[in-house]
Amino acid sequence: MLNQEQFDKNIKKALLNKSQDIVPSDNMFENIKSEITSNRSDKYMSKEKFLPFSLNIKRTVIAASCGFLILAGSVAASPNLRASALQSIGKYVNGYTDMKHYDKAPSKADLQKDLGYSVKIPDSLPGGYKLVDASVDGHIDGATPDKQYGNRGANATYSINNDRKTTLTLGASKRSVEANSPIFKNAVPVKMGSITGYFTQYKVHAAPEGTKFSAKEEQDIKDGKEVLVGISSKNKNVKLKEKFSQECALKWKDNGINYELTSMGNLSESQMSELAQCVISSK
Amino acid sequence: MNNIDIIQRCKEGDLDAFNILFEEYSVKAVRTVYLITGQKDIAEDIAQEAFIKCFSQIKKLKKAEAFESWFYRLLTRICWRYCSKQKNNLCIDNINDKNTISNNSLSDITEKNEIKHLVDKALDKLSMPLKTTVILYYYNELSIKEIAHVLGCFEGTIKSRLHNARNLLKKEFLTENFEGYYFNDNKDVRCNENA
Repeated sequence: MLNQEQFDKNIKKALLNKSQDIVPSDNMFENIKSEITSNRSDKYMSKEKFLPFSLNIKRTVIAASCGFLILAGSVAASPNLRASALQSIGKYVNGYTDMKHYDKAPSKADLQKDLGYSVKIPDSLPGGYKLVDASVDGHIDGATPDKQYGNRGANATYSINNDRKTTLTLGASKRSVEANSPIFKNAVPVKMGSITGYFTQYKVHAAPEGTKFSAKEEQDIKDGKEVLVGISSKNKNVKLKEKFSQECALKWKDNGINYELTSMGNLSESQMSELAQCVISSK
Repeated sequence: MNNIDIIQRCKEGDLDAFNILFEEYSVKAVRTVYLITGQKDIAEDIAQEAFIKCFSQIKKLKKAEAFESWFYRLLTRICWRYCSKQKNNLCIDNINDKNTISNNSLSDITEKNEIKHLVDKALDKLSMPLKTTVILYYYNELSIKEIAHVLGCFEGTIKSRLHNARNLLKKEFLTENFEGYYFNDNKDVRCNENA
């Protein structure tokens, strides 16, 4: 019978022996570093995915311009000066930008006040989805100074336990730009009570700079079967990997408002339809 | 530069500082995962996930001195989550190990394989909490207090788990399969008590 001290030493030694052949690979840290970097850029991308890539750069300009406009207003600049300021940036500023952000589900009154009309943004969805944040965006165009924050729309993000892979986004607006989105070229109709929705699944391709695409892939992008997302890193030494994921979306029109539900996970038609019906039946 | 400075730099998002932490803990982390899960092929993946999570959550670490137990907490949770998902699946490593043992006569088995097999068999019979406690105590050399922090339970629970695990291991080592064999403290060889 072994005594306790010897037993302890033997177990320790046996565990060391058992594991001594296991060594981390040489590129393990590079992989971790690359994953950390791509996660950082993914966070940024998740909000920007459906905007044209060139507009992402412009949004920085938009934000800077808005700051400039507020400053100009606060010093009681003359209308001529304001118009001049807008004209000077007009050729750069033309797109949608957030005008109001909510950390929790906005009240119906707040939403109506900020948006100008009523939309349905529930604070949770079936399956454990909770609202993470919501916002109202509007169109800004430096070339037409009197028409700022027009064409407003509301957006909400949901997830299960804040897990990025389960992210759902809900867009609601009177504008009908979604109708032109290529991903809906292959949509199938879905009956949700008296409302007909359109469901589509597509591939999302996160492509680092310099990625070459095959002719089939280029065609898939045109056909709306694939959505291309450009990724890049400030650190040129970090090699970003191509990533592919399957996502889906469902759009419908309810009471004159266009809704679009997008899932970063590959949910089925029935799952998306259940989520949409929850939005439709919410008050 | 001490660990506290390195951790502070990591909190500020410094990947070079994180590389220093990685160098210090990576080998032990990968081996710990292997010991807990028993699978070579996923050990690095799980350790990698733990390091990524570590970097993204290190801002939440209040006491830099507690980094080691905090890190092992992340690691063991990922291991447990993986094991709970995989418990109904066949483990390829185990299949290979079993084939190696069964295809060779006892005399052909190298000393390390023999010890490995003996410990594998005994450890596999422990429940996941007991097995993890044994690994953290004997392999990672964490104190009872640190293990309690890692596993999120009272020190008394850890003492009790260690006691039970030791009894079960002793019982397992004394079964007929291993009768006459023990680990020699100096040589790691198979010894026959009768020799």
